[in-house]
Amino acid sequence: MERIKLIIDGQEVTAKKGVTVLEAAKEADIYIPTLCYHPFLSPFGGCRLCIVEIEGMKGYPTSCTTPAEDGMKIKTSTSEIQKIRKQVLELILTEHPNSCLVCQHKENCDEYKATIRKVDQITGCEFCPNNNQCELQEVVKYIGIEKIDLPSIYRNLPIEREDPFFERDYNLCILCGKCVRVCHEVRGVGTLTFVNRGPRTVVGTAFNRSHIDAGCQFCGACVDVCPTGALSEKGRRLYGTSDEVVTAICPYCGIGCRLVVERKPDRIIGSYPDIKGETNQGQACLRGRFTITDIVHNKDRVLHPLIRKNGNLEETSWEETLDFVVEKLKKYKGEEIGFIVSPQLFNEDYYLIQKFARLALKTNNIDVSSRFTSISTYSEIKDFANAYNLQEIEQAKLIILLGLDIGYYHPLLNVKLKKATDNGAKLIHIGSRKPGLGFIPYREIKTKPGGEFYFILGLVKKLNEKTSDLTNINKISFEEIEKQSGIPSEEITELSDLIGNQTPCIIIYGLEFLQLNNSSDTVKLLNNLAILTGSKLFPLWEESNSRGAWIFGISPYILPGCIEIRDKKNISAFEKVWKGSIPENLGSSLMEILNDKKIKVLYIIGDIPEIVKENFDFIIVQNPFFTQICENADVILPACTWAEGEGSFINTEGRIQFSNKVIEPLEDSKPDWWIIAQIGKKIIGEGFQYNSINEIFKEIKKVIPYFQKVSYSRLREGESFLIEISLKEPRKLKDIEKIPDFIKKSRNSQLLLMFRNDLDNYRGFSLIKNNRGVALIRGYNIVELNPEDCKRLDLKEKDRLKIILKSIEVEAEVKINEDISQNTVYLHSSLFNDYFSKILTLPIESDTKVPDTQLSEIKIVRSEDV
Amino acid sequence: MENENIRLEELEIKRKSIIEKRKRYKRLITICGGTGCQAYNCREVFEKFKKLIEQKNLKNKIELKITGCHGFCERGPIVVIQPEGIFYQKVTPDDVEEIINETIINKKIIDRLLYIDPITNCKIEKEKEVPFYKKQKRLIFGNNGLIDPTNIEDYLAIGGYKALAKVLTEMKPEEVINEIKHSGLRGRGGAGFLTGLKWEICRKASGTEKYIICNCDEGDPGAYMDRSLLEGNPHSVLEGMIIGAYAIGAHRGYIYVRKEYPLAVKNISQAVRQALEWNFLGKNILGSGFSFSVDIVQGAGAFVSGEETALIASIEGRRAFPVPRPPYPAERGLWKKPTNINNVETWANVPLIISKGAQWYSQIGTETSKGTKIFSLVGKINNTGLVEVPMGTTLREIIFEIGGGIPNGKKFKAVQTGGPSGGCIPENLLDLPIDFESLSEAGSMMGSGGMIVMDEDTCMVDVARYFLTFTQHESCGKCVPCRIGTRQMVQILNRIVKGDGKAEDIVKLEELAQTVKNGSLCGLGQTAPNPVLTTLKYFRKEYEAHIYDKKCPAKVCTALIAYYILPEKCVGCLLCLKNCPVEAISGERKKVHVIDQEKCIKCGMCQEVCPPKVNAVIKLSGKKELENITKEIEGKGG
Repeated sequence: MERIKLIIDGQEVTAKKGVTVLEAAKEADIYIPTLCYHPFLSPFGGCRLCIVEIEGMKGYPTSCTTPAEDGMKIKTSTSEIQKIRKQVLELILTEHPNSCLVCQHKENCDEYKATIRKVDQITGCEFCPNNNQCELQEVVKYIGIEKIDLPSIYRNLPIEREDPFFERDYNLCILCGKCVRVCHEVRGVGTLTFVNRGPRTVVGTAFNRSHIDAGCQFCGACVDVCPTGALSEKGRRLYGTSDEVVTAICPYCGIGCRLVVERKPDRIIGSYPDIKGETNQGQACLRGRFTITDIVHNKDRVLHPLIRKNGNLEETSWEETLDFVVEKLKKYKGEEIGFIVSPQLFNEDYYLIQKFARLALKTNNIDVSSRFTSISTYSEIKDFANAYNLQEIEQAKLIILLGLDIGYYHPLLNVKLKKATDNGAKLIHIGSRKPGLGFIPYREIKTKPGGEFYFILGLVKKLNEKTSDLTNINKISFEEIEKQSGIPSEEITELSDLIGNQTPCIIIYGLEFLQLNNSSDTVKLLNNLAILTGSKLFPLWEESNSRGAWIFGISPYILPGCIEIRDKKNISAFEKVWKGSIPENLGSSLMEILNDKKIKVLYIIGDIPEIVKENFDFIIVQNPFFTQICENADVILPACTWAEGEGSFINTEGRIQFSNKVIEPLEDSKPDWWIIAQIGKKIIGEGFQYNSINEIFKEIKKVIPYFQKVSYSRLREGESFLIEISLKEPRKLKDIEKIPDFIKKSRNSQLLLMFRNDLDNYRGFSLIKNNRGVALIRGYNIVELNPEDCKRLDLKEKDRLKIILKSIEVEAEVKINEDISQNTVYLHSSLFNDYFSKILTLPIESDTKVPDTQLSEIKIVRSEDV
Repeated sequence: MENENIRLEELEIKRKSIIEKRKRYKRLITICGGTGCQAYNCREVFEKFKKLIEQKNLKNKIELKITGCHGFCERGPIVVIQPEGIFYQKVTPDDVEEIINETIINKKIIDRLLYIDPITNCKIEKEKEVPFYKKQKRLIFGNNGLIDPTNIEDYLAIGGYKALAKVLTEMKPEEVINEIKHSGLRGRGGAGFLTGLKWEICRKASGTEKYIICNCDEGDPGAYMDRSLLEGNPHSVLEGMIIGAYAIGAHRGYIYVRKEYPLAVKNISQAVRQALEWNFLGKNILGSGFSFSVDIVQGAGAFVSGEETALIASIEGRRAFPVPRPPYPAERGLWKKPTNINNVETWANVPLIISKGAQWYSQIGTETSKGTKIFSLVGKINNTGLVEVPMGTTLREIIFEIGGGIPNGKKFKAVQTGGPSGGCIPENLLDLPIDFESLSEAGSMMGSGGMIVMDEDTCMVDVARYFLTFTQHESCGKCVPCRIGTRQMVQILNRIVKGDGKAEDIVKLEELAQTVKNGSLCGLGQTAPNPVLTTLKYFRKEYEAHIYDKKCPAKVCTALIAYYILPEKCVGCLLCLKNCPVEAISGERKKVHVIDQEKCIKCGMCQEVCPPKVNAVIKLSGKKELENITKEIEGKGG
């Protein structure tokens, strides 16, 4: 990198070419006061505090906007500059409550709290949400303002409290514009803007809409950059400032944002994104920013072991409970015991759980509870194994999104896609529902519901016209593709040319897309497309550790490190370390465990929706929360949440990251690995003598070669490693197995069911149910319909409906949404419980091992008509 | 589009045939169609002419057209009959028949429609002899009165697009830039940067994609020269832009025009369409291989959008926030590409310079400022209108010779130049030859050419307050000094005009003015304090009178004045009593009337209605005067 020389205040300094004068000064440790500069945002030049004098330039240029040039001579604090700065700051303070800054009793107050420090009617200065975290306070200290000569002007703006998660008191706003810029430039959302002009200028939304209506994703980025207390997290001021901060990985989705969690001695009080986070770099979404406290401290926590006695669950000691569990488990054969495990546990927990199942209980009946909603279960899973780096998105030339609702599921990807389009990338979304990309420019290819499959098929056919060994693919005519996808042939041709010529092209897709059709064929098509065009595939794994669950053998078919149960040679390596045998038969998958009636003992680590209790003799639930399933449990083992323990997650990229312990486990709750180790010890003794997760990880490194390069101490220090699972066979074009029956389905269909997954969930603790803000944004128990469909069916917003799918009925409220296609009904995840328990009665699809309901034809009737 | 592939050589042939075609007309009647005359209903005058010409079967002999603004808006609707140049003013539809019968058919002048010189009281027949026009040098603006702006043939008939043809056939881009540089043309938008130099920087900037912009976001109150050019002679602006684009190497241009200028939008849009048809715009212009297209963007009504970086933001669809420079638009402008912005008048100068040459052009004007400048002369002036004079003309010439002086025999007090953020220039500087430098030295600026004349009845504190209130409202709100500083200044000024001024207020005002001037981000803020600074410099005594004596010397600030009825003069006619809107006057017929000072709202109605020969109502200001009059009236037992 080329460096230039400048003279700042007589001192010769060097700087990177392309930086601003302010950045050059910063690098040289020369302080220039500023309130509107932020390293991630475009220069603004609004606060005027960073003015300097530059030889050869007239006036007082702002150092934050002036590009540094070789040989520049800069003065940062002449008396003239200080005079202007002082008055400019004074002007800012005429509109900002300032007694906390210049009150003459300030000194005494700090010590004795003798004065009632009032900043305005609502915010006592002691209670300013940003007290002691206020950039304004720092700048006032530097510039040195003792009193303000000008009359203060209280703007008397109403405090805005209607929207969830954060409050806005623009009486404290100094219009530095950071919130507006972060919303536009970093998040690509563009909810916030300046409204009005002159002294009436304020930050707000266009046309004064509520933030929800203006498309706010409530990511909290604006709150994080606000230098004053204008934007503040709701209720936060009750806890004041934190005693300590600890970094942890967000436990919700597969992106794996690193968070800074703030704590008091025995309480988490908040969280914000870590600027050093490998995938998130200072950004998060509403889940990581505003709901972390909720999942640790809530009324649904189970904090003591419970045993059902005379029909009631009663608090007992750990010793009694563990003995009770061990006694029960010992009575059953391995094949009579089934494990269902959450996709949001640590890798170390997974390793131990499956070891416990296989070694101590001799069963392969183990599966993730998210089989319905997770990628980790599809048969072509190996093709997902490749690690990738989300950072690559920013440099891509062409990005294709397949049926993704980014704004809803992965708002963090917005940040990457925004950077990509800023760098000139073309963005194309293929799907039947708008992707929620905010202000990011993209080309929309709107297919019929489920038509994405055909569109991809069309691309593969176009790109592969010369070879003819893909019989099934070739069987489908372009006319049929056009009809099924709803996209004209010419557009398919144009797109195939584009993808063929634009490398690197990145194709991002997730579960919503895979669920639509025969998933293994869909994956084959995508692989073919990638092979034909040299594109990269970025599948999005849903939950915080669904990839980890898969890598660590939470599966009836594979062992940690993706070793198949039938792979005798590799199995024996495990058996050597474990000093015991592993059952040879494939285990039962989720639906088989629940439905086949062969399983007598159900061990749930995490949460599943309601089940048929009569199928089981004994049900163990190990979870931090008392969810619906607990009503049927015989024993409840109080696991602590991830924040009360420590361990590693593997995110959607295949990146392993370490999450630190933020607080000690509440009351009697314990980490999952500890509980399993205790039971394991009591059952077979050897092989479960662990005192810490370090020991578990040591063993992992021994049995899984992929982890040998991972240094646990570096991982603990915040480093991350990509876990690359190498493929045995080279990738080659594959034909699809069958022509999907969507063709048949669509013929007479009136309304098709689409399903919205739930990522607002941690181990069964549903944010939609428990957090009013999330419920307000996502909608509670709703079905979404297109306005045209509503007109045709004479439905209004909030009408109550019964959705009838085969033998299943679900009741929900109508929400009209113009972003979705006609003839589709989106059933929301908050209805999951209700829906899931009923769906168990439907036949299972051989491929995914779950009932195939997506795109099924449904009927709807008004509730009152029934 | 018959002219789609018109080539250079064909242009002159076509031009000749247009001129030839027009030779059959004996007379030309032009009706001023500028916005001023439109407001005076010139449309009806035009329709009447059209109807009568048809009725009288004169269609083949008389050419009738509605033209652009003639500039003498005070006297609209204006009708000029060519070739004689007979000048009729304040023409109504009822006059039309007489004009046709008398002037056109019988060749007689109608006396009552002529303009009377208020100084000599002589009637003037011809347009060019009207003193308002006589002293002007209407190089840019003059053609407005000759052409129908909606007809490209009119522009071609007076030699339009010749400069473009010359550039495309004879000149390299660098030569065009050199020509403009040598002419000494400076930006007419306000800052007065050398146009040729600006073009050169943009041409030399790296990158192949470049843009040019025409700034017609004229927002100064009372200023309308750019509007009149775009309305009255849009092709001249367009021709300038095409030449500029060729010189700079831009292939796309934007005309940013206020939505509040509907006629300008309409005329320039039509001009662009016609230019496309004639292949002056579009691909391979006149077969030269050079391509250029123009889009029209309508502003949403923010004053600050006239600032070039804010204007760029607005075109990009963002809020019109100015951005600090450097980097300048010439390096990083619209869509982050090198961009050249000039205002309407600057672009309109370009064809003239190319046609007549830099040598000729640079002889007009002063040492540092070349060419002419159009001013919008408004306020307390007899001849309100648009005037074009060579740089270096004195303020006195403009105001007293062209403008015809101050109405109602009042005394001149000050002239405010350069729009709301210009300064107020006092009488002793009237002989200042105006150019960019002299105006800045006087504490004001050229701006885009607004000129507001004030007479002795104007309170300078109130004027400063008025302009600052305007800039305060129009501040974009981005930077602190402009947003809050002007607000604090307005508060102080409000206090002073209310009589609540404090001794330290003047110092505070000066301090704040310096901070706003030195600390603000863009030109709006940097110049906003000018009205305050210049009035403090030239009329400080008025401030002091307001603050210390609670007196408004011009008797304008209502809080500081009072009306009294002089008992010795009042005849008790009840006129004032009846007209007082708040019933503050008591009295009976033939008895002295008295104003209740508590009730009086100082509207001045009593003084207005008091018969001049009685003249019993007086207006007073200042603590001393008021005390005296109270004593006097009480002494007389009034």
